[in-house]
Amino acid sequence: MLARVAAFAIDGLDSRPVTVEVDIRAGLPAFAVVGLADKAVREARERVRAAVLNSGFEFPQRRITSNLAPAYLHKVGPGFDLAIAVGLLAASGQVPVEMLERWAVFGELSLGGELRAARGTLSVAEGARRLGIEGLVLPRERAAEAALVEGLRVAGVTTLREVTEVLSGERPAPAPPPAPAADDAEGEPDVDLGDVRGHEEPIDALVVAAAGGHHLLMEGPPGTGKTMLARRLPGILPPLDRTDAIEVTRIRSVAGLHAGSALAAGRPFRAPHHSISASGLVGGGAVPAPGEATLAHHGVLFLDELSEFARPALEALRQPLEDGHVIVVRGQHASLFPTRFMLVAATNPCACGFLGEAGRCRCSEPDIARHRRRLSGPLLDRIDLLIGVPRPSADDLAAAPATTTARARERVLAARERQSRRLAGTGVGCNARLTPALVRRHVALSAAADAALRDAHERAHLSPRGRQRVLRVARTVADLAGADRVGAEHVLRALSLRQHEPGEGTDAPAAATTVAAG
Amino acid sequence: MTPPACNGRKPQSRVGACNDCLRRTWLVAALAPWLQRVGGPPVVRALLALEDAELLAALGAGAKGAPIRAGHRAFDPANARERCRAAGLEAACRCDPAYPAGLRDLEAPPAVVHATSFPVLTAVAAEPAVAVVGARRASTYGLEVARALGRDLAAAGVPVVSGLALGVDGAAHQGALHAGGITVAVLAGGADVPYPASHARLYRRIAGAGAVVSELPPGTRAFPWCFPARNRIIAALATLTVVVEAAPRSGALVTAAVARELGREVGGVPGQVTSGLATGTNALIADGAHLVAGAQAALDLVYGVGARRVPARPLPADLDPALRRLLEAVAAGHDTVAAAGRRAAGAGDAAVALTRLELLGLVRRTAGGRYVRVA
Repeated sequence: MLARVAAFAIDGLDSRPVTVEVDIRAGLPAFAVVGLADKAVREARERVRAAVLNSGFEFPQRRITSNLAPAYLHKVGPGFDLAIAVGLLAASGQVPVEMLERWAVFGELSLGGELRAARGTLSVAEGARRLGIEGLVLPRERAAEAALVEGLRVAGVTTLREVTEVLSGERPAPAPPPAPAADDAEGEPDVDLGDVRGHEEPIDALVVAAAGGHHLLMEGPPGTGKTMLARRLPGILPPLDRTDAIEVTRIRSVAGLHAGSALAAGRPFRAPHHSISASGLVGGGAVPAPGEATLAHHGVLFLDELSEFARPALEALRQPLEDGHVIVVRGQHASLFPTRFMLVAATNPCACGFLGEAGRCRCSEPDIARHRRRLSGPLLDRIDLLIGVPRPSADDLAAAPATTTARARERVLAARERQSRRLAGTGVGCNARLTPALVRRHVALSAAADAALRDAHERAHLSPRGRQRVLRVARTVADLAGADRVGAEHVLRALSLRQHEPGEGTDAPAAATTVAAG
Repeated sequence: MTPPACNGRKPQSRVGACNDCLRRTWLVAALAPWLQRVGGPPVVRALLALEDAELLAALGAGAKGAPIRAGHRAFDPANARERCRAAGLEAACRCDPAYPAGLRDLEAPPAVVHATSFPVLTAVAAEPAVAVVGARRASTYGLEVARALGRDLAAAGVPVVSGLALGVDGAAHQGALHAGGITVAVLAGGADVPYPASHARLYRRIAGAGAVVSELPPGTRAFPWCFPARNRIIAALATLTVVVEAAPRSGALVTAAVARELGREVGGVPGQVTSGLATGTNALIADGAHLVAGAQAALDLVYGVGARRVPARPLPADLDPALRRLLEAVAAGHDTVAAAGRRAAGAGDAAVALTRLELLGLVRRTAGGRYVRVA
């Protein structure tokens, strides 16, 4: 006898419908699983056999063939256990088949017949909704996650026995779980800007970065608090809206990082170690899995010790930074992963780390140039802000905290509000993504601001690209100040956050002194 | 000595060198690879003090020396002058009154001096010049001091002589150019070949505003022995040689040693005793060199105490008082935005105000969020 069960395979971040067919016929006892199944899926045979027997069902001593269709699609992971077990019970007449025509099942089995959560529940539930399936049976701890998808009935159960009872109508499908509260596991309430002493200026710069969505590089000696500041960036970004939060939840779920069961509330913060490979950073693997860049989608990707990262890994970030997504191709298969993160990089100013600290640096100028060269290149081109993080003095540490996360976030929100009003209809969300054309249209400079920029061009060797970066940042500074026109002080603040230009400070031409008194 | 008629290619180009001196220069360039092989600096020095005939004899009678002997016999001075002009260089030999007088003090003065501009070189030779030399792999401190020395000496009207090398030499040239002064670069190879290549842009600026000088004919490649030989010319052109940073076996110490032999003044910029780059200069000072803490000390040595002053660089007259206070705070070591802002309250947003000062050229933003007063 033949039974069919609707199931789903995870493909990138999406799910694809898979029909699990189970055929039982006379022959020597055997149990085969076919259809491009990976090792975890083939091991399902052992789990299904034990779970069926331990749940008090009969395991047919006949020839059992299970096929996962379509056969060309790679199927990965243990999420097919439940579908195979249910198919086997239906094919052997132990479960009625009517409901199986309208419901899908998803979950991993233990040997004792309990359901275990598998990765990618949200993607599976979305796939079921797209396919017009009435309901989804899945492990109870994932019911809340699946219930984020509207218009799909969700039955969260704990054992294989319960599954058969729901499918045979003996037990009503459990009531949909209450609307999930925001999952705060991610938001880190104990990480607040209010705890930071000193660093008044770097925090102000951090607010600029958050307000314009600018990628940033922090430069400072070891132990001055670069990581501490970076950790506080997600907190001052605008809260995720529902669509974005669902996207973040889906990514976390597929990556197996979603511990809580409901919507992710906080923006992600990912800080991979510098030994990471290119595929670890942007995604990869035999069956493409999301990398750190995707896990940081809508959040912050923090690269500490930027100069220590392997060059191929950093070069691989170019497409994600440019396009907001990355396409990973493996074999005949391409997966698209979204990567709209804010890049926060941190570096020591020189090899020993103490450049600028009176008398502590032991590097010669060629060493420093070499250190800078290690950082330079296409990645720095995409970074708008350079924030110097000096070692705070005793006075700095004694000062009151400059701001709190809540206050900073308010300023960021107001600035973002101005940006979205101005940029409505352009498809660009924030100042960091202004194209040169949009810069020309939306960054109106006052006469004094224009003069300041000309001075910088003369004195600071501002390159054309550096100029674009300064204009984008100046726009954000003006947005934070609530100004429509970009004034001199906004341009000057942006200039104080510009990157080192090659040749800067070595042979400055004669002074151009158009910006005199304040 | 009448300069040969020019061919119209570059009328102002004056190659005032006699046939014998040109032949001598040709011989030294032709022997350059051999000199490199034959022995260390003392041997090379002794050989270069020999007359042409003695040098050829020292070369030996072997077959290897034959092309050089033949070339020496068949030497065509007109051709050498033409090549000089084609490279855009001027020249003067020992027999020429335009030859820089300081070089005559040397044990073995260069037979011919090639320069991109002889009028500049003559002007430099006519009044006291200061050589600023030092380590190629200099520290940030060393570069800062070299740049300030170059700038302030040039601002006081003193020509700055150095070797176009990476590090201290380049910084001294840049400082002098920045102040709009005269600077002379003495090269180890031909004066038409920018060396090191990464200083090609600096080379062009020096050639434009000062002079690039060499004793070897155009196109000559520099062998290692040429660098100490070049250093002797730097020392001889200058009244005072200041070493900024030097490791124990630095070429800058060769320059200082020659200067001392010539009876010229030698100065050293003191460094941190913990830094390897200060060993050479600190030892120099211990040996009796003058301690040069800045351009004023150098001027006092050259012209006598107080005779000539580094012109004060006045702050812009219309500098906002708040900016002035901020500048004073930075100069006093309150060098972060937060510290400077606290010291000089009222400057508005301190980061903005510091950027104003930066665009005025009064402070410089350094790595890691600190500012320094541009000296």
